[in-house]
Amino acid sequence: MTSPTWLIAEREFRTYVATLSFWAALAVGPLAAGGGVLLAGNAYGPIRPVTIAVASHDANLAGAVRAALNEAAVLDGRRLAFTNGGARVTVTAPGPETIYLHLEPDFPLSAAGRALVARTLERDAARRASEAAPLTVRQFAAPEASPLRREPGQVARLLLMAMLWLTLAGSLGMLLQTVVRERATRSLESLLAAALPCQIMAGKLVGVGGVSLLVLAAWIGSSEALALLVPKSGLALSIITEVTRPVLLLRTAVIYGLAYAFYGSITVAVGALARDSASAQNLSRPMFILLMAAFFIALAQAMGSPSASPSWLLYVPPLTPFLLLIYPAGVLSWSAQLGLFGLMATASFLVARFAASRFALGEGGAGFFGANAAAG
Amino acid sequence: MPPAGPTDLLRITGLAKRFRGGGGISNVTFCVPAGAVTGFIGVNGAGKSTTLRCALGLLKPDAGEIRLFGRPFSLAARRRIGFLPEERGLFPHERARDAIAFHGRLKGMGRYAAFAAADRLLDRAGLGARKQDRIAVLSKGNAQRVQVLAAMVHDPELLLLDEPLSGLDLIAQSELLSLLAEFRGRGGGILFSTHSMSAAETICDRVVMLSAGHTIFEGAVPDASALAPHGAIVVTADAEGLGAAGAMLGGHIVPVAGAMGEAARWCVVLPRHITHPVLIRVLAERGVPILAFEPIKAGLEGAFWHLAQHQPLESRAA
Repeated sequence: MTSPTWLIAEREFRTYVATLSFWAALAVGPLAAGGGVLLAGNAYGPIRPVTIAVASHDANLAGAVRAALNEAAVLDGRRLAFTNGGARVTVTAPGPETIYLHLEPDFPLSAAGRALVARTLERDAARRASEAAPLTVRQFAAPEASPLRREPGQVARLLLMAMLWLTLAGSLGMLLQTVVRERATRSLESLLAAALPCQIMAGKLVGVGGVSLLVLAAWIGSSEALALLVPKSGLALSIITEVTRPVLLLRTAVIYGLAYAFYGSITVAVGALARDSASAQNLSRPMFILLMAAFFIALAQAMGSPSASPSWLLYVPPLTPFLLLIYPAGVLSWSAQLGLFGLMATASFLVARFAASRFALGEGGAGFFGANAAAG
Repeated sequence: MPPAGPTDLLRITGLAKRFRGGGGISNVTFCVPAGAVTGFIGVNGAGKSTTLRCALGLLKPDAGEIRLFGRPFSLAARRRIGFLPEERGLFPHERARDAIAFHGRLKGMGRYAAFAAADRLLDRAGLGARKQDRIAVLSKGNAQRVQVLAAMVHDPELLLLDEPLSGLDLIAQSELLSLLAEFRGRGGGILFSTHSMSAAETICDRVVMLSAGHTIFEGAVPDASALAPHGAIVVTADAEGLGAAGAMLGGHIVPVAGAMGEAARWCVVLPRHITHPVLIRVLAERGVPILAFEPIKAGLEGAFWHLAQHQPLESRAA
């Protein structure tokens, strides 16, 4: 015997998946994503190398620094071109044991890349003169304006956030349709006679969620596969680095799941409150506006604009998943993140409870059927 | 109401459910025994669907008691019921066979058993060749038959059918009635909600009549039919003359709703040996103007009309 929740979920899943149009639409996504990755690869990869100017009185030293920078650039997925313009690094050697590297503000190298430059120079110096005193490399660079902007995975996080928005916008539309459809096809009463409102609601959430998961997996999987085909693409490597870290992957999955549960429950409540498809569309409009606002607030936060939202917005449940995706895992402590997960789960539960009560005929007065239930 | 019997599958006592916008039921009491078809009769808005929804736990009643299979309402007991709602419809993308099996599985059947039962029922209903058709391409009548089969797929002990014949042509009605007769023959109980008195007379063993949210009769069909008065509905502006003519023939007049200008509608109740032509002749001799004359029908329709007219005024107002 299968639980009504799974039966309803299976039916919802089959309804969407067992159509040619679904698979045609599914194929378009990966193709578009692949095209995007290719374009990004072209935009940020080998075709447009980062120009660097190395200023030094010592030609040997300048050559060593160029070699070290090239090695470090590989780590960041970049290609460098050394010219007289571009980002400037000034190299001086006040003594045989010390090299000073002055990196100008916004120097296009990650913290890890910079550390690698220093280690490479030290290693090379040690090789060249093993009898000489140990060499120390000190770097001087302006502090970064915004830690969010300088993270190499920030673009990937932005993409994940945008993908969450796209996933939610698509799946919530489907979910709204499935809820309203039961009324439109007059089949809700049959379902309610055999399953509890919460089972129907959960079944619809799981079924449509499964469809969204399939779409998401196709998008991410095909994008990664295509990204791997683009050698030394900075953006592609950033995406792969970001989304293939198991802990980050798990974190992202939890955020997606909670965001879907929260917005999905709101959608079911909207569908249950609506009398017909037209009123469902009208009632759902504020929710989609909220969804869009959340996206732009998170975007503004990521861009570090002057009007960027303060961190308290993290604790506003509709915004929480988007802002959580924008912040790197390291910026917020795990306890703070777990607290936010708990907040979202609680908010989702409360909304789901309300939605289930709207689904039921028996909760006070006319319930789900409105005035129609009044007449026998 | 008859005393509770050991074979009562559903027993409803003093059920009440009011809605914020008005309407609902005030005092519904009846039972559905096993091995019989109980007609649930009432005009549109009488409260039939509300009662069925309460019986299934879809609506929470304000007062009253519902006992299923001798026990208070429970979800487990609900699985032993097949329900055809008034709000009819199936998932249009689903195939007929899948739709029936889906409802069977929702009621706790295993996958294999549900599909086997769906095939058997579709063959029995003459829809075997259409089992792979999607609901969207079936005719309205066939889609409705599929939904009736979906209500029966898990072999319930009690069927609650809300207007099952509406929208069906005569052949489909006949097929459905024979399916229900088979079900009754196996010992199942059926509550057959309808506003069609002729349908109720065709299939029902007993009837429950509902008017304005109240039970006004419960008993065997012949007992109900015997309550139908003999007489006619007359529309006239001369109530005094009509009353005198009725009294002269040994009858009396009762006002009924539905005036036509200055003329009012009256029910003239007559002794059974006075024929309608006699009444017309007396009215003509006395010069009573007649705008309309309609004999009261015998059987359930007349009985229902009579009982609904004679229920307490406060009930009618409800």
